[in-house]
Formats: sequence, C-alpha cells, structure tokens
Amino acid sequence: MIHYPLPAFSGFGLGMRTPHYDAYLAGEAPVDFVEIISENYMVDGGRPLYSLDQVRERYPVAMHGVSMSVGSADGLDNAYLQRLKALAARVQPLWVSDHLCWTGIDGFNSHDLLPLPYTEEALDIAAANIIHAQDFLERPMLIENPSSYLTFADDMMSEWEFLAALCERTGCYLLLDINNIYVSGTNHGFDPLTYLGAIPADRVRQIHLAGHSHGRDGLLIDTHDQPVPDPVWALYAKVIGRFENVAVMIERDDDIPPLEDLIAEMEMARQFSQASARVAA
Amino acid sequence: MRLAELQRGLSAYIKSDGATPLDGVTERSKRGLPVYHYAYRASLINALRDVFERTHSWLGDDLFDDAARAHIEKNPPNSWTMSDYGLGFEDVLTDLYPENPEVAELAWLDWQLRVAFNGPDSPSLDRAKLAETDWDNAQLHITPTLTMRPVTTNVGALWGALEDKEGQPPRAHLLDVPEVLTVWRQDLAPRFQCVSELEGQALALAIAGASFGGICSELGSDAGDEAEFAAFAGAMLGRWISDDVLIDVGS
Repeated sequence: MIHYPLPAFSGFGLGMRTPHYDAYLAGEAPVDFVEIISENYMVDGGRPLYSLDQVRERYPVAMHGVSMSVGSADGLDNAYLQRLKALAARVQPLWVSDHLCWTGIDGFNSHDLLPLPYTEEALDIAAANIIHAQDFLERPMLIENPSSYLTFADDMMSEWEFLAALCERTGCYLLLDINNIYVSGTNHGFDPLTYLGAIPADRVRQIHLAGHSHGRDGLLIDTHDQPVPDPVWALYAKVIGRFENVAVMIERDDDIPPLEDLIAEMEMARQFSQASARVAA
Repeated sequence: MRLAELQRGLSAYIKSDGATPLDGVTERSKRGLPVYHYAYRASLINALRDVFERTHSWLGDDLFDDAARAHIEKNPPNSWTMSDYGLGFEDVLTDLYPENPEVAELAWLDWQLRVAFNGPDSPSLDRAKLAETDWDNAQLHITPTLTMRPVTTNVGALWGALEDKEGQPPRAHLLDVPEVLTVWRQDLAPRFQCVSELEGQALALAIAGASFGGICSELGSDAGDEAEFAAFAGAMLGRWISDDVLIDVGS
C-alpha cells in the first residue's frame, strides 16, 4: 500500500452553493476555503467549470463527493474515478473526500448515502475500495462519517472503530461531520463524546458543522437545511481542541440562507476554536 | 449475511412499496427503514423538478410528481450522476400523454437545455477566415452542443411563456407546418430556436460533414426557385454565424 501524505490546512470555510456564486466569483466571501460537490463539476464544459476556474483563482478548494460508494460490494466505477481524477487535476484541491457508505449495487444507484454493516467483511471491502481509489487518483482520500438510521444485526464493531481501522489499513484521512455523529448517536443510542474521543485525531483534516430535523419516532434526520443547533455547537466546542490544524466548514445543502448568515455561523465556529486554543494555552 | 446480499436486499426494499420488512437490521433500527425508502423517491423527484422546470410548471405538482414516480418505477437510476436521471423521462411522458404532444416536447426542451448547459466547450468561429472561405467547398463545423428534433406543437412559445410563473401561458396547439426545434449553447448560455424543416435538413447535412456547396446542391434542387433558395441559404448561414452555431469552416 502506498502512503500518500497530505499536508494539513487550517481555516474556516463554507460549501459553495448556487445562490452565493456571485460573491465567490468576485472573491468577496470572507472565507479561508470553499468546498464544492465534486459531481456538480464532473461535466464536459460550460458555466460550471468556467465558474469553478474563476473561484479557484481566488480560494483554496476542497472537493467533496457523494457518488464514489466506497462500501459497494461490487467495487468502484473506474469511469467515475477517471472523471474525478480529471477534475482534481484541473482544481488542484486541498483534498478529495467522500462518504463511508454505499449508493447501490448491480448497476442500481440510489443516490443516497446508504449505511454499511460494521463487519470484518465490510471493512475488507471498503479498505480495498479506498486503496483502489487512492492509487487511481494518486492522492489520499478523506472519508466522512455519514448520518444513519439503521444498524445491522451482524455489526461487530462501532462506527468509530471501523473508521480508525480504515485509516490504519488504507492510510486515508478523515472528514468528521459533528452533526452526523450527533444525529447517529441520538438514533442509535451511543455517546458522541465516546465516538469523538476514539477517533485518531492525527488523521482528521476537515470538520463539517450542519443542522438536522426531527423525524418520526424520535429519529433525527440529517437534512442539512437548518442552522447548526446548540447540541452540535456544544459538541464541537468540547472536542475542537483535540483536532489541530483542521479545516472547519459550515455545510448547508438546502433552504440556503443569505451568505451573511452562513458567515456568522462560520465565525462562531472560529470563536469556539479560538476559545478552546486559549484554554489549552 | 454477506455484504452483497445485504446490499441487494436494501436496494430491493428501497425500490419496492416498502411493505416487506428487511432482514438483517436490528429491531431498534427498523423505524429507520422508511427514511431511506422515502428519501430515494424524494431526491429523485426533486432532481426531476429541477431539470424539467417548465414541464413541471405546465403539468403542476400532482401530475408532474405522478409522472416522476412512473419514471422512477420504470427506470431506476443506474448512473453515478443524478444529472443523467432525466434520460427517458420524455418517453414516459409520451406514454402518459399521447393526446398532448406538447408535454413530451416541453420535457425534451427542458432536458436538452440542461445537457447543453454542461456540454463540451468549443472554440469560437474565427470571423477573419470568412472572407477567404471558398463557400462552395467549405466544410461547416457545427457546435457540438447542438441537438434538434421535429416538433408538432407551439412548444417554443409555451416554454418562453412559462418563465413567468404568475402569468397565463398560451394554449397548446398543433402547428400548421411541423418545425424543427434546435438547442445549443452560445458562449455559456443555452439557447433554443424553432426553424423550418428545410433548415433542419441543412443542419443535419452539415453535422454529417457536407460542404456548404453540397448542402445547397442537395436541398436547392428540391426547393424550386433557385434565387429564393439562395437568399434563404445566405440568411441561414448568417444566423448560424451570429448565433455561434457555426464554430469553424474548413476545406
């Protein structure tokens, strides 16, 4: 296995969303970096790539994918990887990330981030897929923890043990979504602090902060269409001191508010981080 | 349970009516299964509403969502990109609305405008070359984003009117003379235009590699009045140049 080094990047950013394109194109958004959804730019040409080139001249860009399907039992799609590699060559991103999930099998693609059973077999398959992706892309991957609404009878380990093992076996890095940990912790009855305390801190390169909704039967749903709620802020404030030199981002995917609202949330993340650093000093 | 078996089971559950519970999940988390069942359809319907914006406006929420569900049932997604999911929706609408051809024609236009939006870039025509061009033998290179189809309704007018969501669009009606609807991208902006069947034939010949002289010979002999056809061909070529439909001329 080849180990691909990945320099850390410390800063605060936002996911680039259509209503705010003008501010990013003008370089007026006061962010340290932006994150794009990779698949939105894995196209032949036109305005998406034209705009992305302009934004890249002004900001560091992280590439975040939703379609790699690293947990698929039938392996990865090399045509997808080829497109992703071409985009990465164009963008020269901070890094390329995707989720610990699978999206389909036998040609079917649900376009959802479906949960994996945390078994030795799934670990073998996900690790092999991540190694293949990293070798194909010739760069390391960041893997993000998903929100989930299911656990499986065959589970043999916790999600945090599974992620730590993936880092060990593949040399991949982590994108921690604090909201997803809170959502899954509530849905499945584990303590988010136990999760965050067990994650190998030196592998974490990026943090997502987001909001969620309340569904039926007490389930929390990872809608990413709300401001970051107090319990997620509290969790972030408690643990940010563990993770040095990370890129922290507000991830809002739906019901997009004015850019100023997201900047205010991003600044709150910065303040919690600075406060944690002062306490540590 | 092997991972592949579990993934096939959950995929089948998501695509099903959701009535049959899934094996292999914990008792506590069975309440989470409907979340995935619902999210699958909701995200695909939202994606179709986004791409087929004017078709959605024309049909309204209920009829559009019924058509989207029929598409999901008939054509489960199989591409890594959601952007491909509009493929085939026009055919579903043709089956659902055989007496209303404007519905499928609107969907075709919505879809092709999105395809052109993300389509391949091409160089701009070097207008300095035009004065030197031997038009009898010049091969015409048409922008790769151009696509076209025959239409039987006033779909162009409908699409334009539906931009105003508050306004009342005109009634759909059959055209007296069928036209050809063309879609392409000019610079970064997708465009469309309804042209005559004769111009559609000229475009098809140009895309197939015919020279301008060859196109005129092929179509002019059928068109009757030679002077009238020459004027038509000259005006057509002028529009192809000004609209960036023509991206290069070569021998």
